[in-house]
Amino acid sequence: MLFPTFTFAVFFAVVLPLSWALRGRATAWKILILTASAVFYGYWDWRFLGLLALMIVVNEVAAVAVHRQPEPARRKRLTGTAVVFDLAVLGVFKYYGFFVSSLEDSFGLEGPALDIVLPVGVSFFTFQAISYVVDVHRREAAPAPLLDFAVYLSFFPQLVAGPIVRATEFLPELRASRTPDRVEASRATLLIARGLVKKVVIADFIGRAIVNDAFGTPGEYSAWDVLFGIYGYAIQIYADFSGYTDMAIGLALLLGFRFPQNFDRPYAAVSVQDFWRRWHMTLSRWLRDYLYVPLGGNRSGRAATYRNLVITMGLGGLWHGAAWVFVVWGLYQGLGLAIERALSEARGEPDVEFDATDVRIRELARLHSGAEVDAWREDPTSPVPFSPLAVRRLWLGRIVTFHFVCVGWVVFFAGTVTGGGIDAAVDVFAALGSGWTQAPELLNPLVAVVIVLTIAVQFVPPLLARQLSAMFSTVPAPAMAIGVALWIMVVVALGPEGVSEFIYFQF
Amino acid sequence: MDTNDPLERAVRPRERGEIWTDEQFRAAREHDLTERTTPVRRAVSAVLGCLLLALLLTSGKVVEIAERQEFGDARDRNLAVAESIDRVANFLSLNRPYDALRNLRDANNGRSETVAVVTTTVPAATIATTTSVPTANGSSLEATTTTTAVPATTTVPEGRVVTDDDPLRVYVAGDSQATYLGQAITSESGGWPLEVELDDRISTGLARPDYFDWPAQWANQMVELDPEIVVLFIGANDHQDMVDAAGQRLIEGSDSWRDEWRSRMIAALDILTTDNRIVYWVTQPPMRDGALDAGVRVINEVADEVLADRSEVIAIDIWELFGGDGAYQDRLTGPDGDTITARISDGVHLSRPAASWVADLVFAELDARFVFSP
Repeated sequence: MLFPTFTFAVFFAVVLPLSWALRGRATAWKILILTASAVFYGYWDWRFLGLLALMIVVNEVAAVAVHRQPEPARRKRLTGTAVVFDLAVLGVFKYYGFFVSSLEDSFGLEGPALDIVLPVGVSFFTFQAISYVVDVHRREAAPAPLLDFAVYLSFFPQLVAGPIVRATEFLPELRASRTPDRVEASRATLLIARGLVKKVVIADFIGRAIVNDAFGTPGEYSAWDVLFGIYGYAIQIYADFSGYTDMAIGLALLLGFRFPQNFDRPYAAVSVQDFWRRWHMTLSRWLRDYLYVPLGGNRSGRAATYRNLVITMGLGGLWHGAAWVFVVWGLYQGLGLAIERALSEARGEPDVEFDATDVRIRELARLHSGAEVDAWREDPTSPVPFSPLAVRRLWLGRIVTFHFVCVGWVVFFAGTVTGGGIDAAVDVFAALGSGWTQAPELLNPLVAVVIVLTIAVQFVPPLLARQLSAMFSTVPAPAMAIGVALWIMVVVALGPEGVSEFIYFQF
Repeated sequence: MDTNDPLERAVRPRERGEIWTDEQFRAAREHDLTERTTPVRRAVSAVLGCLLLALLLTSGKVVEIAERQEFGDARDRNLAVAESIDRVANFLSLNRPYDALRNLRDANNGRSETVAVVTTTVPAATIATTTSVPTANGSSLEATTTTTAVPATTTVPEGRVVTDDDPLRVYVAGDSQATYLGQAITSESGGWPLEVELDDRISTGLARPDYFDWPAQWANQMVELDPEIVVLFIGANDHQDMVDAAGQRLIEGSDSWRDEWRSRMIAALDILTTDNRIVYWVTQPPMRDGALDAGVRVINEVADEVLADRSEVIAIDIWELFGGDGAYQDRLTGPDGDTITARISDGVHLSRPAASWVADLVFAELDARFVFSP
């Protein structure tokens, strides 16, 4: 069941009032949400429900066992077993074919051929399950009752494509009584309306107008077409995925739950590190907390830090898809992070470790160099340094980072072409080698405007966005309802026929 | 407000080019940055009201969605509900803005909003179409018109000499399976100078002309593009019931269904093979899903029967290449000895390298028929 569909609208129109009607009865509410989530997920393929149920039971049993085990070594073994189980599920359902074909290609060893259907969203709920057990192991969370954990893992707004919500974020909200006078309806409405237009209009339009052709047969088009096809793919993948999570966060808000932010204007990033703090933020922090830090993080010297960055991002790449090309993409990102860090250290810039939750500090870090922020942090009452040099560095960083990311997206695209290997990316890059004098065929003013505008929106100051959002919240509810209904009508009327699957569903 | 709020202190004045006092920040935050929350009852009512209004505003689309479902009881029920909604919207004139926007969009796309429904008793190159004309009150009138496709001027002599200046005009058409095939033919070209037009339409077939009318499309394309070669890869979406010209529902796989599909294929080929145009019909490969696999076997059987009488239509038989009766397989060793992942994760579509194999089969057919003079 895709969000922007008539079927989902009917589904949500039933679930939303029931959910609030059962507000005072916690158990009944949880059973309702669990049932709704089962309907939502089973709509793709009811067989997937068995896997989800298995994940819930096994991880809950493991979490309880870990929690009750006083001896650290045993607790570690139990946690390890649960994590291995979760990874095994992922390995079988997502990577079996990949492992078999890799063995065959590399060593000529033939494994038994199994036709395994990839369950939608398996990568997301597996990661959530792992974080739950590990958090219990670290004594950062206590095991929740089975029903609570089941609701957490299967909660339909985030079940199939995130954001990757942690148990420590979700379960306290589940336990807190949802007050009936505090629904952030206007914020939810804005998020859903924005998500709709991103997904149904921008992503699908750009895909059909330029990306599919420019990436499908790049040799047939001018270099300008291919270049803007690359920019277009960057827009398409952003609009597609962030549009989905906008809708997910908005729907959760209407049900009374706050999800963490998942995208924060990623193409305004000034560095690769900054990009990964803004792109799929919940995955980035998962990789940091459950992979990079356990690997040693930056605690064991420079070489080990670079190694850990590359390993973390390489495995993060593999998480995106069962193909070596995704590993290459992840390694490329990891190398980018490592090189950036090395250059920064060579220039003697301080390693400014910002608290990821401190939005204000991060905001300043984007506006100024780390050194300036560091100095300013010493005395927050002093004027904030702001120089033309900082502005130039800022924009240079943004341009270089955007193009670094775009090159990565071409490789990423090759990963989505089953069986194609890196060839699809090579073809795209090769097409940039000539044809600059050829007239563009796919690139037209509308495509260019959509690409430029979508990038430009990334530079809207967050405070302005918050102001607009606050202003919108003063609109009376009936007027808001009429406005959004008209918005939906425009999106449906002007959007393409049918809704494409979300790109990230395959991950 | 926290007067030491760094974001407020640092960013806000710079954006406005002003230096604000803490008092100003406090006032601004209270007035500008506080999102009002909504009581639940009002929020839920607003959401439901919004959905209801959106439903009425887009009732035309709702009917369209219901019409496109597979024939059956569920479709009948959904269609009845959708048409009731549409009647209410029509009575209240709420569907007018949507219709106006669609007309605007279609006009910009250079497309008529008419939907052509092909009857199945079409003589060669002549199609009867039912045209929906919106009336002032938003409902539709139906008028039947007859379009005769102008005979194409192409005559492809055996052994035509193809040169770089006079490339072969190739038209690749079909459902989403045709995408990678068309791209492979375009980019690889098998050493041939080709001018390829790819016309791929997802979720289409011959079973549902109410969704997409391929024969009408082909009649137009043959006139507009005048290709010498047509490559068709279509049929996987036809694993569903059909309705014949008399409105009779035909159960998939039944004798009457086979007769109907056969006649549609013949009608389509009649349009495409006008004036000695050569058509390559790519057969369906085995499918992972058992029901779909059974469905495409029927398609292949009927196509075999049709092609047996059509020497101008050449079958590109890929059934055995992709596993044949040995059943569906993801990983396959191709004619070149390389083992590849031949199907994408849905168990239906050919992967890009697998589509290249099929393109090679097309190129081999071209080698046998044409002469290339560089």
